[in-house]
Amino acid sequence: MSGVEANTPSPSAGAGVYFDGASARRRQVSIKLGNHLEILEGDRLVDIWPYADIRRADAAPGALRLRSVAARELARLEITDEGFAKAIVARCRLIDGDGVSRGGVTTIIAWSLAAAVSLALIAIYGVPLAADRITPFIPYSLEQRFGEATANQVRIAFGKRICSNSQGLAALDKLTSKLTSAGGLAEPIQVTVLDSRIPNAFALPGGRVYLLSAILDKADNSDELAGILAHELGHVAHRDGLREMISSGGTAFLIGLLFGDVAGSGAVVFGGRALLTSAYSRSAEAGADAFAAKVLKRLGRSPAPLGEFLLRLTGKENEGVVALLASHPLTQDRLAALKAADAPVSAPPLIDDKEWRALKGVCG
Amino acid sequence: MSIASAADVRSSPPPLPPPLPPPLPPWPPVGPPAGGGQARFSGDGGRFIGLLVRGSALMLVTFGFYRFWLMTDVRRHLWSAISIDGDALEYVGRGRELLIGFLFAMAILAPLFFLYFLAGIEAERYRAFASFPLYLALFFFGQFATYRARRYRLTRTIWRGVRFWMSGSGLAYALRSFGWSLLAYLTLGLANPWRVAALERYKMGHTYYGDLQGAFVGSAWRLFKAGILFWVILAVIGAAGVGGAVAIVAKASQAAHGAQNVGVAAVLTIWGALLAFGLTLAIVWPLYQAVEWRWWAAGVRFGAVEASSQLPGSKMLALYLKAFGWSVLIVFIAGMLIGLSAAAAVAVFPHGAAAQVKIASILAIALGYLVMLLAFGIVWRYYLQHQFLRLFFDGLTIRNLAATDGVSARGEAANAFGEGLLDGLDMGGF
Repeated sequence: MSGVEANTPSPSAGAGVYFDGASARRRQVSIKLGNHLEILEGDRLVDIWPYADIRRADAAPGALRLRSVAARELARLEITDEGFAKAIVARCRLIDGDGVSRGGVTTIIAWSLAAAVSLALIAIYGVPLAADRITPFIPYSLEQRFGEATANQVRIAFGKRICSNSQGLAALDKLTSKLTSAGGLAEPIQVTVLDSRIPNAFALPGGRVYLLSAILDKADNSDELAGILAHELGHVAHRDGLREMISSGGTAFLIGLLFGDVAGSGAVVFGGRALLTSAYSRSAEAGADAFAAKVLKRLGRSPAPLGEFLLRLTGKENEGVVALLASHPLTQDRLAALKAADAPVSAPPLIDDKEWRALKGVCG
Repeated sequence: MSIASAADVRSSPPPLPPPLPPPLPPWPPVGPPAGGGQARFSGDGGRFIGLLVRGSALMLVTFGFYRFWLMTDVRRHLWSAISIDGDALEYVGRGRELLIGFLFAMAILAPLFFLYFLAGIEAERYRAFASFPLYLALFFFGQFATYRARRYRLTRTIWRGVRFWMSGSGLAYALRSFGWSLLAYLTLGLANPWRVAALERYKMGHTYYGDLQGAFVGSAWRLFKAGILFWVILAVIGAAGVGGAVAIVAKASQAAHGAQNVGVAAVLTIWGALLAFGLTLAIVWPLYQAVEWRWWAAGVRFGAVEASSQLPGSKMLALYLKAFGWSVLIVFIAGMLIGLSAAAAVAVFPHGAAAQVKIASILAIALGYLVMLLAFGIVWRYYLQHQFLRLFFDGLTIRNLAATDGVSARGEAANAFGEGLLDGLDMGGF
């Protein structure tokens, strides 16, 4: 579109527009294709570009724009005549010699796959391993801080009302202290009952155990609740909450950072993490079950009611996506393990009937 | 490549190198311009979509790592489609540079995110969601990155063998942006014209084409006057919604009986108001965008070079509506496909193999979701970048272009650190 006046382009000479890369001046030039490409302004030779140095630069559709690797970085030569442009391109072997060629794309794909595989391996094996190793080095006071931070959110998610019937709490304290001393837990434990219609229990880092009141309603006897509580204390003893926090945090950190905002992979990463942590939780759950069984046996009570209660709460391992993602899946393995740990009852219930009724009414 | 909102294109500085010069009618005749010169956009939409589809497929295969090269390809296509006075711009950045910038940024961001995490824990310990102010820190950091990224893009923008470049400091810009944004939020957007004008003054005042310094002379007051009507419309609808809901709730507290019905009415009112607000915004926003772009073009200077834009609001609105329509269609199709593939998974693995069904369903959903996001990206880039630039540059008139004749090259190519930061902060744009 520039004032190219070459009306009959010959293969070896033509017109072009030249920018020298030092100023914005637009120079009408003539181009000679000899041993090298020669750029002439009038009769004056402006520059000589060896064909091997010439590369294509981005141009408007239909135009040919050239640069030379040996010339000034931003010097450009533009040719709009199609026939002459073809003649030049034919002489420049390396005109498309750089940029992302087909080989380049293959390289990118290969390295991306390699990066993804190594990341996945680190996330699946490396991070949990690192979490196992790091956990013992975190001081308990720091773990308590983490727990405190999460506790505020828990209350927003599961209800603000803390159940505080004094007799009920006394019974709960008795139950808890029996379990903690039998389990050899030295750290302070804080058990809280929240008024909620969701039957659940969980342990946060730092010895904070939460019972949602619906689980009290559903428990038929004190052994069932003692089993649940012992299970959560198992998580506390094994510092599972902290380990999971480190583990899932590390995985998210790793994948989130490297993939950045890639195609909004955030949600997919999240989903993948949920899968990973639920798989991780399974071994943690089994460990907590074993802790519960050990503690209950030591106190002369059977761990079997825990298995029955869990079965009643969650049903058999459900089919469908939800069960796979559930963080407290009751697998056949766990049920079998609890049954295998069954032992004859050799001591009275951990709390008597009156205390059990008071505990059930703790939210009253 | 975050599927950034159109807002990013606007409020982060003009994504493009400042348009340069040429005079004449808005719709340029084909052929060599006479005398002054003309802005023109000659992009081939079909080729652009092809580039996006190929790039998106590669994004999928490379777990997103291809984004650096896709972004580069997109810019190369767009830049070279813009010609000013007959000479096309050239984007000389490369994907490799973006990758390196990203890796550098990670070195900074990794410990920073860790500190952020620890600070968040401490704040949450104090009170739930007390970590919110930390988002402000991220915003600040994002503004810094935005400035640095603009520098990278600018120094990769070539016209007539001379590059654009930029002085100034990312920190100074971030401070300004932070303060002005705060003011704009506190005034519910009324102060926004002053924010935009101040930031443009900083950016354009530190922008150079060779040794020709840029400037921004747009008056905030003029933008305010041009946009206030839109603001009033939205404010009225918003106030009506809030007022209505408050009135209903107030009534409810007076008449305790039938409180349930009143609660439903309040919820309906709020939803209705939100819907009305959203629909109005969908129309008002593109129209305001056109106003702001025209104002911006009129305010930009490079020495004596100045420009004016005839960007029509109606066409801007049409672009947004098309993008919106396609997005709705994509959500619809993606939903159907995900449902179908889940159903197919169930059919292929009938009872007894529940695990396979689960895995297959999860994979189908994840894949469907990713494809949907990529499709959004294509729609967004095609309408709100490619077609928008066509609208903008074809309607751009540039005067006193001769002032660029004596320009000598200056400025060095800047690194892509800022681009990497933006990418790591989930704020990648153009």
